[in-house]
Amino acid sequence: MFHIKKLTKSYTDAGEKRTILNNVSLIIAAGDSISIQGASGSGKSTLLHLLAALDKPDAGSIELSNAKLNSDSDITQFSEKQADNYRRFQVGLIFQKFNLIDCISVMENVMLPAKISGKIHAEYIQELLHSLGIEQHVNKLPNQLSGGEQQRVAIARGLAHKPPLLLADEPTGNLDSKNSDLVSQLLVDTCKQLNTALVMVTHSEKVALLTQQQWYLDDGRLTQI
Amino acid sequence: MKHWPFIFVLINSYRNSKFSLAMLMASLIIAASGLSAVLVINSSAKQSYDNEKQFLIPNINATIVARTPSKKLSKQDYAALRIQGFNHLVAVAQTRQHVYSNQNKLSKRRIDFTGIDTFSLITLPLFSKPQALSQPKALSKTTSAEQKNKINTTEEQQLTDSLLQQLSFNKATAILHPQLLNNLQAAADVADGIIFTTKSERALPELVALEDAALGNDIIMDISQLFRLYPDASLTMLLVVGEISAKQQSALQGALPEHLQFKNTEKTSQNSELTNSFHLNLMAMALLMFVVCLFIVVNAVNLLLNGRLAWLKICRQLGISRLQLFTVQLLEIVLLTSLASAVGVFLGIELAKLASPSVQATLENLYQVQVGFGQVSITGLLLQVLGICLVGSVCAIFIPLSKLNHQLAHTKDLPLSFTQQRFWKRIIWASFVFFASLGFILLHNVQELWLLLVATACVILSGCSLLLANYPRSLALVQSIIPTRYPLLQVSAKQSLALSGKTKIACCAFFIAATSNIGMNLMVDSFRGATVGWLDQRLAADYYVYNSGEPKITELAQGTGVNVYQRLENYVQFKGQKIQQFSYPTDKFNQQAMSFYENSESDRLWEQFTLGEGVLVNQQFSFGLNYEIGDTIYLPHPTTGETASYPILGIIYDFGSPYAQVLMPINMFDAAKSKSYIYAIQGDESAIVRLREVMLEAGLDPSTQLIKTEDLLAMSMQAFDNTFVITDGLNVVTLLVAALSLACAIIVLMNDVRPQNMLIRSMGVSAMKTQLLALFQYLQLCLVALIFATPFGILLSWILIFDINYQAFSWTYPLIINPLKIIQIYATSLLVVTAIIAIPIVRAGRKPLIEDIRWVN
Repeated sequence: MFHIKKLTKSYTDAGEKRTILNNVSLIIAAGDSISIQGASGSGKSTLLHLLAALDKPDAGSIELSNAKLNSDSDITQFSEKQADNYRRFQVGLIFQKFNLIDCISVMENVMLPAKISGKIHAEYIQELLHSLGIEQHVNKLPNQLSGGEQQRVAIARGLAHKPPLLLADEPTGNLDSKNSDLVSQLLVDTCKQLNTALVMVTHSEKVALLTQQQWYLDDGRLTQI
Repeated sequence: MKHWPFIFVLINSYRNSKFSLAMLMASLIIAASGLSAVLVINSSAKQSYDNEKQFLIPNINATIVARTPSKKLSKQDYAALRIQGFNHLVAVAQTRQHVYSNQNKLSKRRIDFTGIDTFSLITLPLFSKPQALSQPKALSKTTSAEQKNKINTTEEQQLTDSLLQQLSFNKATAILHPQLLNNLQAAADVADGIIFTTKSERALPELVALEDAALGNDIIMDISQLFRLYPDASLTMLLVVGEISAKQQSALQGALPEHLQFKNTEKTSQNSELTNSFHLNLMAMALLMFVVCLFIVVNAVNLLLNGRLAWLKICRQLGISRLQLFTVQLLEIVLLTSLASAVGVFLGIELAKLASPSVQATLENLYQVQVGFGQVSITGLLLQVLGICLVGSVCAIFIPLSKLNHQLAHTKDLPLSFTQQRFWKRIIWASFVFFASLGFILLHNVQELWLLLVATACVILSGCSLLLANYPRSLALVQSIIPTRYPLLQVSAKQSLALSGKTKIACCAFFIAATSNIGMNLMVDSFRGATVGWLDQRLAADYYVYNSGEPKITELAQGTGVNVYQRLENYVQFKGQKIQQFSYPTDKFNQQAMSFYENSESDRLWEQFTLGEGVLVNQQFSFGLNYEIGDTIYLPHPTTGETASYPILGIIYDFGSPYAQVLMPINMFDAAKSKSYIYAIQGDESAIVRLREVMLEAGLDPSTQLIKTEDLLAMSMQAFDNTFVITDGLNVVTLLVAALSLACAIIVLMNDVRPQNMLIRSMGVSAMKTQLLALFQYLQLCLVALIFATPFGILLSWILIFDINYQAFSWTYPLIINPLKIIQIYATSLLVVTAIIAIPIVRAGRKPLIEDIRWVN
């Protein structure tokens, strides 16, 4: 379980301080699917980056109560090495641009985080590829796939090491509406099936409606729709 | 001004591209300074060498010198010839001595004291035309731009003229180069009131500085002053001043006593060919560095243009034509090159000054030439460097500009289709076949040195093509041996494969640098090994005495208990070339000390040699004059002068000697008629002590003239190392430049690999690990290039030893392929590359991951 407590983050833009997250609090339980919407620059991605331990807040904490590792760790206080370890085992990331490594095959792309974390579950990955409908493409190079297929490979890669939390930053932003529907549905379903918590930033109301909880970020405040 | 809006944007873009601009300027400045340094060194060395071979007075077409060192040209001979009406003869006496002050030796090297009979000179009708005489001596035969430039300096002509007059009317004056005067004054450590003297404390005439390149390491004075300072000095030659008719020449030759000979000065000597080889080699190294620098220019321009791509596309959308974009950017490169050339020229001159001691050592070791101080025409040098740099940089930007053209024409950089890939693959293989064939044909059919250098370039370029054709396969091989338990290394290896396609130019630059590094190092290493072995074998005696004049060491050593092996030498003309006849002892001990390149299989070799039934020749003789074992040569007998036939019994190693040499048994020589310079000494320590004492009593200096064999070996190797210090320096610089080229390419690629690095880091891989992986990727490319460079490096050293050295110097030595040396070069090269490319890699790796994520998305 991830417990976000009173997170505050501000930036200085052209000499002017701008609070982008203001006392944001949220609880993410295992298997939850949460969407965060908001205008451009409202701080959606910043919240995601804080959850991935890529950035530090000005105030507040993100407590990770995972009995397997650290029972009550505050992500915001992680050192660089701890943050690396956290991302290696606890988090999967999906980006708007699929960011697949183009010189290695689909299978190798998917297997990479599993190999890095040392958690290789070949059977699980086969099932994952099957449920995402890309098992026939495993030997292809990423640039031989369509955008929708590439994003499905990115989802498989994000889940390959069985992370408890999957963070997706506008995963359908680069896809057409048909592919967008298909990929977002697959993403939510797969996470549910694997009991992985999903936090997804999106501009699309249609995509957001697929998740259990819909939140809206405005003026630094997070409110549930 | 239709270009103005674009120029405005371009100038403003410098704010955001300081680094790439700095890199571009740095590469251009390095290329320009390296090139100008070598041009200055070449010009300086050439001037010094010309000085050594030419005369102070112009219009000297012939000289009269003694036939043998034993019977010298005397004052009586000079007087007799002048009495007979040969008034256009001017006597010159020379001696090489140190300068002292308060009994302290001021000069590091001995200085040439030259005395001219200025009275005879000034009475010549020719001298009444100041412009004829006043030309500085180094200019009488030269053609170089700097020297031509100097001819026009009428001020100096007048100065030379007046000083020559001063020498003849004011006898207490001697002229020398200002820098030599400065050196002497600095060594005396007293600003004013220094009295320069000879060793015997005779005061030198007043020294007057003359800004003339021709003066080099000389002090010129009237001949009477020279004899006052050095009463034992003798006449060296008589100059035949002005044009003489065939009839006059015949009369003069008829009037010469038997021991004197008439020599034309226009014949090119063997040594001048040697200096040409030196200059060519130095130039080749400089051009190599220049070419590698141009690789940096390519990458730096690429880097600069890459940063501009976004706003260049906007400019295109706003209606600025591609031609306009190119014109302005081409103009920009021309301006930057001009600026860099100017800076590079000044840096190059300073660099040449820094390298000057090494150059002096090299020339002295190779050609026994005392190097003086060169004059440089900055305008000429600037024009030369600017011209070459402009051609180079305009050629270098062709690739990045055409790439930009492609990028501006297409919105997406599409990968090459299979047909295109196959086309380029064929082109690369065709280049390999072309360069390899051309290199092979040239190496087997040409003898001109410059064509051999072209052949060497072809061999290196064929290596580049082979590397490019085989990069993917080799990298795949490397990748296949990485165990699966290292997934990141595997991914990294696969990325290297992709990167190799984008770093072709930088990899080629590195390959060229590595090949030349391996080639040159193996050559020097082989030469060093051969020299050590040869010296070890040849320097078989305990001590050596160097004394060119009286008293004879053989006479001095009588009763001291040492065995003296005298080395007698004569210089004779053979097929229009000056060759050495050298004595060689025939006892068992010296037979074992002989180092043969090739000898007749006959058991009677030494017996035949001892009986004078055959001779040994050095490689310079055999290769230079095209003789083999068993061939018969006709030579004058060293004592009687009668020509007889001698079969060649063996060819010996004689590294570094510029002379073709024939070894004959010592019993054929007459000590009174031959020149004696070296004496090999064998004896116990007490006998050596006694020899030392008798040498001191005879006025010799055993501390410098009696040298222990180990010391001689050490001195020889020191001289050897000095000779190759420039080569070593240029090698390291070339490698650094290649590494810089690679660093530039990496900076360009950083943006390409940024998303992938970001991704790997987002999977929990530490920044340090990511940086190490990036380093691994590029080192892997370098390692493959090094592996390919190894056989080409060995081939290069083979060409250098057996083709270029053979043609340039007429001697070779065995090629020693020392695996340890190759490993050492591998380590040095990878270390240099790591040091340079680590900078952009660490710079990129230090950025927080979130910045990369924001940038990518």
